[in-house]
Amino acid sequence: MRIFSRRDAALLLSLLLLFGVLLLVVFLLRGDGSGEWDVVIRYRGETAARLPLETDVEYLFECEEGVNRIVVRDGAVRVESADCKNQVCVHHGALLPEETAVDFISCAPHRLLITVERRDGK
Amino acid sequence: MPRKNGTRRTGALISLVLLLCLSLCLPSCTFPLQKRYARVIDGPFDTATQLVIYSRNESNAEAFFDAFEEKITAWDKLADIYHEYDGINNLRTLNLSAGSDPVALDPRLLDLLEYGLTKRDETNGRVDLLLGPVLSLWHECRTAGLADPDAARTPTESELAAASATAKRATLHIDRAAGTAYLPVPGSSVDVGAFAKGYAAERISAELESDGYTDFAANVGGNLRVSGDAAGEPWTLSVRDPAGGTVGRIERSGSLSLVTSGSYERYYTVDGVRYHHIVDPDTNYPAAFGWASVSVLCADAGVADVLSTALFCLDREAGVSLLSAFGSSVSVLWITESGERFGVGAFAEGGGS
Repeated sequence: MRIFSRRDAALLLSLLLLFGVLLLVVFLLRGDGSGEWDVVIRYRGETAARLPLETDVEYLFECEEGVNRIVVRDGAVRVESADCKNQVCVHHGALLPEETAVDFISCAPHRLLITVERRDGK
Repeated sequence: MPRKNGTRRTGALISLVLLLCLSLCLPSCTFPLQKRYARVIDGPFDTATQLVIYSRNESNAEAFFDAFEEKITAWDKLADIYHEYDGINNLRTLNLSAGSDPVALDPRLLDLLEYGLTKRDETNGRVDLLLGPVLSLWHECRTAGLADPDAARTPTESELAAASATAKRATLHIDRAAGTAYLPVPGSSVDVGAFAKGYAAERISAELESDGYTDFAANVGGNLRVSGDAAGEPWTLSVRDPAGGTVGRIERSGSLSLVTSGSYERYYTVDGVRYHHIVDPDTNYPAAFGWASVSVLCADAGVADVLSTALFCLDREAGVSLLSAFGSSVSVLWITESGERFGVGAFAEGGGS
């Protein structure tokens, strides 16, 4: 005895196809594909640099207050070294792209702020 | 009746496939259009504020950011004890009028002062908004010491004794009907640095929640206040380890706050000795109970701010005793200067790793 007729199979395939298209539309509308994060470096409140988090790079930030060596590696950013007084920025450790966290690295003596932000999230 | 059976079977098949699709889709489709938006505000309360909101449209997110920025900028000016602003009576105006006249203040500021008086009682004076004369002495020495480390000094004993005597005589009169506040003792002053940031963050967040905003988080200089969730996921609240990295990681949804008071960020050095900014009202010197930081997790950012400072100025036993008056929903993580951790509530296991 056949479980499915040809017509049933065609209907099933059509429904699955429709479901797939719907999923694709929902995914695109969500706009939260992975890997789209930037490291944003602000100095005195103004954006000084925007670096893609997926590209490993060493960025030497120099300002009149001093120097911070910022390292982007393996999808995270950290201040490797700095000549500031309190070293809070260095001790902060790595900043990761986390959807559910709100965190930043601050170097108050150098008036520097580092965040990880969605590329399409302003 | 083969035709009827076929129709039934087809109907059952369609129902089965639709059910399967729905069950697969629902978890990911609950918040299908929410996107993460962020803004950084630099300046208010002499720190950075990072805002994040999950929203279905950008204009809603921008309206939230604008409202938050406008409110926190207003609060910063009102609570400022160092600067004057055109057309605004703030806490500097109040302090400069000590011993002379009552000052008309914004109702929000009167609320803040009343809150400070209440918390002064509830913390047995550990957080004392009338400690202004002592705190301003330390502030002046720290500012001068950071600008010129070779000339750094601590306040002298006689300076501290005089300031402390003024602070002990100080009273604050609030007249809600007249809309004024008054410091009758000449030289007395208020300092709300221990709780204004948390209080403002709480009020602003609560007001914006009342306006219908949800699913947002505000990191005001390291102090977190979250609301709702992050596109269906709980928010992550982490405690910063003074030695580096994080030691506590809490995942929660809803209105919640995490505030840390620490000795490791704001300090200056005199003859090789570090002096941080949290002053013990009993000794008039920076609190010396061995804490590197005290973090408080609770529903109200103002209470979290008050408690983190109060507990920093108490030993562990006295701190736990004080906590009993604030209910069981408060979680605390103490981290000592040597890296030991003690926790209660959500941090009972010592803050995790």
